[in-house]
Formats: sequence, C-alpha cells, structure tokens
Amino acid sequence: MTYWLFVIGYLTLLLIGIVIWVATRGEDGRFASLREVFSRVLHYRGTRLGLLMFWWWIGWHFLVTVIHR
Amino acid sequence: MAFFLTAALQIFRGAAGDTAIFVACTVILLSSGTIARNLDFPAARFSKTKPMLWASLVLVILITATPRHSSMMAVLFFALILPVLLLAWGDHTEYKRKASLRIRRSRLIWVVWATSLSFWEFAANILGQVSGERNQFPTISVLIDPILDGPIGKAGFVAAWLLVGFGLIKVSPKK
Repeated sequence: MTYWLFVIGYLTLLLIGIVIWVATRGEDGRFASLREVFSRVLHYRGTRLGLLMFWWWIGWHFLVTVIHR
Repeated sequence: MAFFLTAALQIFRGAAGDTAIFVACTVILLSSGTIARNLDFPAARFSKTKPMLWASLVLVILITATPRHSSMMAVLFFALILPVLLLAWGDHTEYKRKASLRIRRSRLIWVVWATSLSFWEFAANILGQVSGERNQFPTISVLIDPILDGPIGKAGFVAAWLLVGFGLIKVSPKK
C-alpha cells in the first residue's frame, strides 16, 4: 500500500516537472525557460559547484556504490 | 544548506562513504565563498564544445564498458572529480543586478518542485529506516537501480547523466 503511494508520488512529481518544463519553454512568456533559469543561476560559483558536485554524486551513487534494495 | 542537510541524512542512513562525500562538498562550497573566494580558475579555455564532446564520448565508452561497483569504476569517478571542480570553479565575479521577474517566477516554481521531490525522497528514506521495512517506502535509488542492471539501462543512464553534466557546463558562463 505505502509502496504504491510513494511510487505514485514520484510519478506525479515527474509529470508536474515535465508540464512545467513544457509550459515555460520559449523566450517571450511570463515565465523564463529552464535554460534561462540555469543560465542565470549558474553565474554564481556556489550554484555551479553545488549542481556539478551533486551531478557527480548521482553518477557515483548509481555506478560505484552498491544500493541496498 | 542542502548539502549540509543531505550530509546529516547520510549519517542517519549510516552510509559512511556518502557522508564523507557530502561533508567534503559542504566544506568546498563554504571555502569557495570565504577563504578561497579570490582564488580563480580560468575555466573558459577548457570548456570549449569540441574537446568537451570528445571527452564525453570517451567517458560514455569507458563508463559503459566498466562493470558497476568495481574498483575501476571508482578510479574513473575519482579521476573525474578534479576536472569537474575546476570547470565549475571559474572566477568569483557575479551578477550585480537583480534577476528579471520572469526568471524569479520560474526560479521559485523550480525551487518548490525540487524541494517537494527532496521532501518525498527524504520521507521515504527516513520512514523506511524507522519502520525497518525499506521495501514499503521506496526511494528513487531503489526504484531506478534494477533498471541499471541490464546493459541497455546502464548505457541509457550513462548517456543521460553525461548529457546533463555536459549541458550544465555549456550553460555555465564562459569566464
């Protein structure tokens, strides 16, 4: 029961993410596109380091570490 | 703050390796804005598209050919951390003007979305540990990990993961 509750939660969040991404595409709407947001926030060294270290860790986590299922 | 909280969660999970990584990341982040603030690295000359594409291609082949959870894979990742840090470091100049309303609106939406996802993941992790029934509270890792057992799943993950890293570096300012 809780298993499916959590899976549905992840899928709902994934779907919401896709909807936001599609809805904010283009460069003339009320909302900036994801690319524009990244282009702006990556101007800050802290954000650049944070996002790229997190990206590195995702690879490490799935490819090097053994995940206990 | 996000790295600090994740480091705390790793201690709670009892994952020594991940704790060390997140503590190191927190220290690097704190240093980058304080004692090492004026230390600049000219990343622009290293982030040109063609060499980056070649590096990505070599990495796709190497990582896909290397068995998961092997010592060789760990060596590859340790070798990757230095160039990643240097490319991310750049210089310390930042925007002085405020972001436009469009950017601020979108940024808020994405922050709320990412926080919700993190909350859901943290909840699954903590409830699974407290109840002792991890299978009833699946984390994203537990759901994705079986897909990577097969060669197609692993190759797809490696390609998507490298594409995101490549995109982050390309969107970063050239400085």
